[in-house]
Formats: sequence, C-alpha cells, structure tokens
Amino acid sequence: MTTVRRLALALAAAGWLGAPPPAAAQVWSFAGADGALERVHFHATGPGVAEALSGYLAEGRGGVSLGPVSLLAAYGQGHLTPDSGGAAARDLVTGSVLLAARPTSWLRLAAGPSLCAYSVATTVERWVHWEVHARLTGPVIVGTLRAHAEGWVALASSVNAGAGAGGAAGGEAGLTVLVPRTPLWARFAYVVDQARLENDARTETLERVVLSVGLGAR
Amino acid sequence: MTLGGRPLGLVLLLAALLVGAARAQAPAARLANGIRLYQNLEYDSAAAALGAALSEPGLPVLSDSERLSALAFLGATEVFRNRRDSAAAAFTRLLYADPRYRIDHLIFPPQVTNLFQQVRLSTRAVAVVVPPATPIVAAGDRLVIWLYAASYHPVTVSIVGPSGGRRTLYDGGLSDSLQLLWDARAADGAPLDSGHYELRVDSRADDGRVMRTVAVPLELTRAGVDTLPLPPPLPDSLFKPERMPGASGVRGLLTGLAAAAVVVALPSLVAGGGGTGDRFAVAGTLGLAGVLALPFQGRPRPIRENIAANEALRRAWRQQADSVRAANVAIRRRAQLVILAGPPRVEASAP
Repeated sequence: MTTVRRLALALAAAGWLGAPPPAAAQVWSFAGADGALERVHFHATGPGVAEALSGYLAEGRGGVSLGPVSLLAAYGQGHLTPDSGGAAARDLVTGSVLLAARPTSWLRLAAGPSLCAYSVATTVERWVHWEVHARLTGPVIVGTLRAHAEGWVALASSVNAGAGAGGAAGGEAGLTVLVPRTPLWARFAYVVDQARLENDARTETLERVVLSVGLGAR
Repeated sequence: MTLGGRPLGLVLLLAALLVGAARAQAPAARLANGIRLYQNLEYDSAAAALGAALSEPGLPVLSDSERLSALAFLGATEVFRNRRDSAAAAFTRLLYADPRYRIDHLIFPPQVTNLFQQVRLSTRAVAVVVPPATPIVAAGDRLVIWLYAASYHPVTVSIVGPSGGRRTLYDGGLSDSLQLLWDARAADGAPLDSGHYELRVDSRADDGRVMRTVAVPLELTRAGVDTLPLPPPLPDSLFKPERMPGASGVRGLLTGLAAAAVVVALPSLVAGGGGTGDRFAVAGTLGLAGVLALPFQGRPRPIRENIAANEALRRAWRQQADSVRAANVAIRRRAQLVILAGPPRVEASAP
C-alpha cells in the first residue's frame, strides 16, 4: 500500500466517523487552546548508536471546531543537551495538524501530518509522519478530574536521513483538572513517541512529561 | 283583671307610651322654658332649665341647632348672673361644637356679644366640611375640603394613609375659611390604593403644640376594578433536576488506576521497554486521583445545564408576572375612584 493510499484511507475513516451535518450555515468556531511546558528525554539506539539527551520543550496548541469535527494544530520548540558525553546538543521542533472527529463523548479519532525536526549545527534531521490517533477519555471525578489515554501510529513516514523511515508509533496518558464554572483546565500527561529508520538501523524515542494549561475544549 | 271593662294591661301600656312621649319632648321643652325664663329675666331658673336641657341624662339629646341655641342662651344667662367664667365656658363649648357660630346681635345685648367675641378670638377650633362622596374620574377631579376657623390660628392639614404615610396638604395660618383640594394621590404624585385614610386637621398653639385635632375618616374605593390574574406558579414537573446523585467512586478509581497503568506500560507498548522514571510522577498522580474519587464521587453534583434551564424558566415567569403587574397598575389607574367621607370626630383638645 502506498503512502498516498494509506493517507486517503485514514482521512476517509476519520471523515466517516465524525461527518458534520451538511448545514451550509455552520462555521468553524473556536474550540480551545493551551500552552505546555514539557520535560523531554531523547534516546537513540541502533548498531553503534547510543545517544541520551534531555531538555525542555515549550509547546502551544489550538483548535477550531465545526460540530463534532475539529481541526487541531500544535507547534513546539525546545533544546536538548546530552545526558552523557557522546551526543551533540540539538534543537527540537515539533508540529502537527490533525483533523479530529468525536463520534462519542469518550472517543476522539484524528488523522493528519506530524513533523519532528532535530537540528544539530547545520544539519537538520526532519521526520514527517502521517498519523492516525485514537483517544479515550473518562471521568475520574465527574466534572473535576478526567483521565485520558491515546495511541497513534504512522501510516506513512519519511525522513531525510539514512535509508529512510521504517515506521513510528506513540502513546499518551494523563490527567486533566477542570476548573469548575470556568473554561480553564490544566493537564499533567506522559507522552512517548518512537520512530524507526528502515531495517531498524536507528530507533529514536522521545519521552515527554507535559504540564499544560488551557482554555476551552479539553 | 279588668278596669271598666278594659284589660288592665292595655291601660298600663297606654300610660307608659304617654309618659315616654312626654319625656322625649322634655329637652326641647326645657330649652323653650329656659329661653322664656331668660326673656323674663329669671336668670337663675333659666340657667337651671338650660343646663338640664343640655345634660338631661337618659333622654334623647337636643338637635345640633337646639344644642347651639341652648349654649348661647346659657352663656347669656350666666353673663347676667355675673358668672363670666361660666359664661365663657358655655361659649367655648358652643364654639367647639360649631366654630362657624356667630351670636345674633339682634337677640343678645352688647355685654353678651362682647364676651362671646372675646371667647371666640381665644378659641382655636376648626370645622371641617367634606362632601360625603366624591368621585375622582377625570384628571382634574379633586376632593374639596372646607375649613372654618373660630379665630385665626395655625393649622396643619394632612392625609394619613393605612400604613401611616402622611401627605401634608396645608401648613399655615387659618383666619376665617379655607378651601383645600386633594387629588387622591400621594406626596410623590402616585395614585393611592384603595383603603382607609384619614384627613387630620391639627389646630396648633403659637408654640406649635397641637391643641385640637379634627379627624375625618376617608374611604378610598375603586369601582369596577377587574385586574388580570398573575400567571399560575410553575409546576414542579416543568423543572429539571438540578443535582445529580452521587455515583460510585469505584468507577473513578478504576479509571484512574487504568490510566496510571497505561502510563507505566506505555514505553513497553510503544518502544518495547525502557522509559524514564519521570512517568511515575504522572502515574502516581493518576492513581491518587483515582483514590480521591472514592470519597468525592459520591457527592451530589449540580447539573449546570439544568440549573440554567430552570433559571430561564423562572426568569420567563417573573417577566410574565411583572408585565401582568404593570398592566394591573394601569388598569387601576384607569378605574374610577370614589372617596367616601365619614363623620368628623374631635380627637384631642387642649384648653
């Protein structure tokens, strides 16, 4: 299956699950936004490769919605420094645009491109993944605390390094605190991403502990 | 028993009726007798007859005009008996009974009229005349109040409402007579509701003390008022429940623990193992949140959407009720008002 066919399949699934009503009068409306500070750990392994870096990432997210369909965008930027002597420090840039649908109150499906770039001196390692996400949400204390778990897999990936991309997957789980009678919320979550080069020549794992404060859609 | 062929009871009844009739005419007869004795210069006898006519216990009282006439002749009699204090007291009673009374110069000699004038000028009394029924229909309609003073003195005229609210119509000197108009409105111009009101005329001393008050009860009634009913109270069935009963905390506990387990297992699920210790902070927080759910989840929770919907219902009802009240105020304003005046009474007097 080619990359284009996988992407078309994912978008079609997302559109079928959360198709908005055909109301011409509906317009996109503000869904929510949040800002996050993330503690990041980066590990790269492979034959002859062992890198461990850590640092902080600042990320902003926002979204608009049309009925049950949302368009979500995120952008983050940070800096990683080596935990041990062998690796070089690098800048980290992340970004994504996801088209999401919420067929039920506890399930959100999303699909879209995700970008991750590591910049070392004049070299930039750039990953592009076309991902599909599934996110489950459930109340811990109704109206106050909510837990979520999310998993995603890349239907297509590309990278400008080595023999090419071999695949990517990731997951997230965390807790959201809702401030009563306000649109404010705060989230504490753990995120892990893994991307592989072809033939497992190199595996890169990005772990993040996210503390975010948001407004609007949670 | 019979008497001359007639039943004794009938005879006794006729006798009682004759005695009663004679007694009923006694005050008027005593007055006429007193006047005749005065004219015959028999002043002691005249004083006794006139005094008896004025204060005969258990008999029908004199009419107002007879009473005034009796007091005038009693005062004149006392003048000629050289009892000026008693004469002044009789004239004072006369002027309190009718402040408008003026003694006839053709009947009484100057020594009598002069004393009467002296007493009148020192008597602070007011007669209040109000029509028994006054309809207030058009905008210019008013209750006409006439005041007649025995002599010049300061007066305060006010309307007192059922709740004690007072509107002062006049506060100043009154020499002979004064006409006041009242539009059946409060001091701020608002139309008054139906109810018991009182017109109070206070005669004051020069230092402001109230010496005598004439109170006239006024009954304000609105004829033909047919106001709109308020909307019926909203039945409970229209309201949505505003609080949700507490749920079991076990579900929240399981959710929190499951999410914590996912956090711990994520590196193994996604990356085939590894993972830093930072994730345990997140997992611990989720587990703690799940434990907190046990006591907190059982509490009833407000349902904000339902509370807002119920408040909107209540607000709509209040707006409807307010509009009905406003319409009723307009209806009452259009309705005809009738002011019924009762007999004046003297409430307080001071020498």
